[in-house]
Amino acid sequence: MNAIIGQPTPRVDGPAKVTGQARYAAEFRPHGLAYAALVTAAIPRGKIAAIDTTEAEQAPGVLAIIHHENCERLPYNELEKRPQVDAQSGDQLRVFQGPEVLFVGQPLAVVIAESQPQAEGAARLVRITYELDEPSTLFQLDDGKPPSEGNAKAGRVPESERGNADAAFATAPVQVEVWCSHAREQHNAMEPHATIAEWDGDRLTLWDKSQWVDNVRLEIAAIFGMEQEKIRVISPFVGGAFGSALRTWPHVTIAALCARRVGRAVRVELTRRQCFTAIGFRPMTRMRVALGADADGRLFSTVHEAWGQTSMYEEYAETTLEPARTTYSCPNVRTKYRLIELNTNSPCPMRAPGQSTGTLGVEMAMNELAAQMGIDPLELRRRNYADRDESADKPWTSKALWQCYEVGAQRFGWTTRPPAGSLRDGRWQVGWGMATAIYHADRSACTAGVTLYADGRLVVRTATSDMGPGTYTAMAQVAADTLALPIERIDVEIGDTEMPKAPVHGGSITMASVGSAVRAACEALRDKLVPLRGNDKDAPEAVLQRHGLEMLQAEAESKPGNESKDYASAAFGAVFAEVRVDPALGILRVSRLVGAYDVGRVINPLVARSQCIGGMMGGIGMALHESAEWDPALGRVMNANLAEYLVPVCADTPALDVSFVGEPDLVFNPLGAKGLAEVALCGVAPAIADAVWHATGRRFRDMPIRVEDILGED
Amino acid sequence: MSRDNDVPAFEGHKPQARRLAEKALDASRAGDDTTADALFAEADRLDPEAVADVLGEDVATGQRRTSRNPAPDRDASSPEQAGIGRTAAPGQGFRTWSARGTAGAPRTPPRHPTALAIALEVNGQTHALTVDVRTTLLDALRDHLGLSGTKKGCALGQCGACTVLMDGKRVNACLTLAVMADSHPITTIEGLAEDGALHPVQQAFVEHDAFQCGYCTSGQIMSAVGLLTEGRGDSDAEIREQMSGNLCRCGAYANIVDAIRAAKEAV
Amino acid sequence: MLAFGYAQAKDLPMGIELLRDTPAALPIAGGTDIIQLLQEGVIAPSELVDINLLPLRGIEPAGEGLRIGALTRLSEIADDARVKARFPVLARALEETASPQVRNMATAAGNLLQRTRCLYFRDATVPCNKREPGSGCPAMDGENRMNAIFGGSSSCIAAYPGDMANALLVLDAELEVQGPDGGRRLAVADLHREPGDTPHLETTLRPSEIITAIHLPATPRSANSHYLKLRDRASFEWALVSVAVALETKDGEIRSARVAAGAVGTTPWRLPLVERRLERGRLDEAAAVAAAEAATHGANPRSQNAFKVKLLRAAVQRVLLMAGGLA
Repeated sequence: MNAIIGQPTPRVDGPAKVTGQARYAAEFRPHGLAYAALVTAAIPRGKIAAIDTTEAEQAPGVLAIIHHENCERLPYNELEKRPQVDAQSGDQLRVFQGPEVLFVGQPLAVVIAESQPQAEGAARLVRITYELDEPSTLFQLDDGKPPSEGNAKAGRVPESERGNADAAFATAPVQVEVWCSHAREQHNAMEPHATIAEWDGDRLTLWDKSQWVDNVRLEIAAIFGMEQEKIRVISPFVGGAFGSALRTWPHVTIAALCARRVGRAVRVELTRRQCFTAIGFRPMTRMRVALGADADGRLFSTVHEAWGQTSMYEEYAETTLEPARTTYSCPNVRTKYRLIELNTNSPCPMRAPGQSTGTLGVEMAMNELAAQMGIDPLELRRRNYADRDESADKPWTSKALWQCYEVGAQRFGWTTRPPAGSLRDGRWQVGWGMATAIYHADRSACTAGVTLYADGRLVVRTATSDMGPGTYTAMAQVAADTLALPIERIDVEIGDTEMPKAPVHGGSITMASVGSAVRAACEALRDKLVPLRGNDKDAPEAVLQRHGLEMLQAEAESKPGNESKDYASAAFGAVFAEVRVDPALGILRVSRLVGAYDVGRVINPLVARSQCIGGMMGGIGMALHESAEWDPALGRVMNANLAEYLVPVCADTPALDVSFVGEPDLVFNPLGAKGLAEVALCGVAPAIADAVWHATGRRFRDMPIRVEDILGED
Repeated sequence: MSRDNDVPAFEGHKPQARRLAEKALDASRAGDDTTADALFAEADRLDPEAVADVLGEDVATGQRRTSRNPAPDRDASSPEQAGIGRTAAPGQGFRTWSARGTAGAPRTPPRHPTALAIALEVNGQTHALTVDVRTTLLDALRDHLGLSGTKKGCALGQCGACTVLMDGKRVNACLTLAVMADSHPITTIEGLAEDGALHPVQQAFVEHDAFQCGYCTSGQIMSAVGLLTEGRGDSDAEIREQMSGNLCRCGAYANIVDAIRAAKEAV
Repeated sequence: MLAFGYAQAKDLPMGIELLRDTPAALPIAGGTDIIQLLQEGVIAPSELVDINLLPLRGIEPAGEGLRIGALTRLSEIADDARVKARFPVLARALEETASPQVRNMATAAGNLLQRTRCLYFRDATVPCNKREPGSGCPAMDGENRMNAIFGGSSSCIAAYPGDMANALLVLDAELEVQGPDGGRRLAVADLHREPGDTPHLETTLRPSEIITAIHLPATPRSANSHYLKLRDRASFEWALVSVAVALETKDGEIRSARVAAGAVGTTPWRLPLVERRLERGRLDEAAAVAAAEAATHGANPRSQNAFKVKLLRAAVQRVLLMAGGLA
């Protein structure tokens, strides 16, 4: 190893991004590109009674209009095994295959035209009349259904219990019961979803915004009844996704349908409003957490119940209840999970899916327990430290949460935390809060290929993505490190199904999975170089030149071994927040966030810190801003834009401090990295909520906390 | 039953509320705030619109509100006009409306050109092109000129990803029509680097890792260049406020502020 | 966007003529609201008349006051040294309007005429009496957090969202308007209409009229004027509540006052009761509290915006304390 791993190396794709040269899905320009615009449903449930395209067809530039009456029938073959990114029960939305309307925003027709304005203008001329059915639009806990078998098999069980939590709660000397929630959140990555499709005979190329090109190929092949080999999916840059580009959404199919209909390449780019309905969202979740503790604050009962939103056509479920089972040591734990079916688009994973939700509930309850007992919340965590994963009954591959607490507290100045309600700065009430962050660390099989050229360049190829965490840079560092090459000589090529197979770019698994594969491929190449090299110390390219070789290639797969059976793995963190509240004006601002994280080996502290501060901003959004406002009378999100769906702006940025603690987790994978995108979001919102209590003396349990909450009733 | 004995229709609480509000106003004029507040509070309970009417007619400040519409009588409004909402059964809201569809009323056909030949001056180069007048400057840059460095994030001026300089000032390319940008010099991210060397703001963004996914980056950088040209950014607080028209969903703001501060020092 | 024609007016008479010739036409200047409305399908004019070439840009002295051309950009007004010094409430209101990019594009007159952010008005697939008269108002019991607590009717409770108009109200500003029948003056206070049962009619401008300038008279209050804008996030958002105040003081006594609030009314909302309470004493904490108490008489909140009542009182109180150097 050279010293490049662990160095704050600037992004290798930085120059391309700051000069506007990095090319995202909608920006490819295949010859003869035509443009599409979606026509979407205006009712939450019913049928299309009639669709009138007469006027739209006569609009200038219109090439074709596809809808359920004239669309080719698509086979939608069932996959042998459903990818983990899809809902595990129910049927995906089938585009233009029938008149049924299941949610507002459902694509019902598409107009293809010579230009984008022509397509969008004509789309407004398509007239659809509906037969209305009674929709399900109210989020009522009584309507909650237990997840079905498919989800249970994937770990989203209706019930789980170790010990007897209710009995233990009933006898607990100290009891806390908390009802809490967060709103429906939308990913709202800055790049709208887009797909360009082009057919060449029976071969299809898709330029798509995707976190998993291999899966797009798999699913489109099944939908169209094609061989996978005839499909190529290209996605070199992803303009943020946070989970919204894990799945193969209907508009990808629509792009392929359009291109086949008009015999030209066609682009489908969602409008911002459509990004609220044509892709997924983080489901609004309501929770009940009951904690029972002994007189010293040691937990002996945890009950966590959650109700989440799902759609009428798919059952999307999350790992919401995992934190209750794994974060703290507790002999009696019961969980319950219910799903409420609504006439809406299907939810999907959004950064730290389930876990950030569950952490919100558990951590808020822990903070209330601490306050009730008069124990410092940090001390309460220490007293309930889980030395092993008590849910799986396995040891951790590594866990440095204790150091997270210590380093975070020290950097924040927590040891001097004054009593609640005592900090003031003029009219501002100031408060401090904290929370634990936890996110299970996973790893999947991945293949990478490396090619060393005689000119000294090394190219790394694998079908992963980079939606922002720095895959390009980190993989270049891993290769440079393994082969002792300068990083400037390394090109990383990703986001193309022509490349070696890679797992989904999500769930914080990329570094552990793809990084390990790149490491393995480089080691395989090094092994090939050894016999060529002999005893000399020539640079690798000199070795190639000496043997008259233009290039030398190696490919290797890396996958988890028995360690995943014998151990549990997770990334951990401790988050500390300071808020300022102007109680008269209802203003609440976060002034300081400190996070200390155990994420195993940090490949690139510069880029890793960026991801952590990004997670903190996302947590501020969850705590103070984000809420897709659902009108149950009309069955739709009303603030479907970026002016009224609020995300933090630059002026909302507090002082941010990030530390990394712990050691490389070499049991978990050869690189020792545990992943950090998700854990960086977890814990932020409950830490902020606790700080608001500390400032004001009042508990706010439903996120986001807004002006009206702070102002309170008269 | 004789007509003479007809009881007048109940007008709601409006008349009573008006009388109370007028008395409250008199008390207010006389400087008796306590009485005024009590009477206003009582009137508010009966009919706040009547109170608003009385206040709107108040000429004490010397300016009569001539634009005021006659306030409609709440109690006389029809249920249709009262709208629909949470109290209604879910979905009921469409029953009276959705059949109309969304395309709106018949339109007057345009009399003026719907397509025009224009000259766009981008990064010092003049491009002649013919555009549908609906084409935004943003779409013209991306789809007509292939300058996809300028990003489309919302097309509604709400995210800043499309920020370019027009006449030297930062603007949202999505909020102007290409035909309106004719002959106004435009600088995009592609025109920033000179002779292959990154602009100091671009360089600072790389060094400070002021982005993750990179999609908002062009807009952030163009906005930062605009900010520096305007002579702003003397404090971090000012940079934060002045950069708030550019959303970054990856949350790189802290690094963006660092980069701009560094670039300001470098320039 | 549905197809429209584009015409460029070379001068004012041509602009008025173009608008008169094509009744379904709309003038466009900065475009910052019109383009949004077009993109979302909220409006569908037959033509856009581009009035940017009209010589209506710039700020010039007018008597003791200032005359701001209708096409002057918001940033140009906010940055003007005379505005900052003599009409600070206006500069402050504009500094907090939208984003720097939008402020570089949006024009003074266009800003006054911006349309509501009511979520139902902006979603062309739902009923809205303002967008489609007679279709209904789902905001009444729907997502009305941002809607008006003053000036609503049974047809419409859409809030006027802007900032500048509130500042202009307390500055007693007037508009110059030109139309087919010549020019006239119009108080800013008389520009906006409450919805009544015609919520689609939002202003008192007559057909084909163009606002050409804003007059800021010098008053004894102008220089002592303040603006407070409250919102969920720290920047780049329409107000939850905003308050503009201008005070004339002599020997510590308030001689005259103007107070107006934004985002609470269906139009920019003058608060005469508050003014009267201020106009007879010193500005201290007690006076601010008493005056603020009078701010919300007549308020008629809906299911989600009752907080605006409390917030408005708090905002009036705070801005008065700011004005008195007490906060």
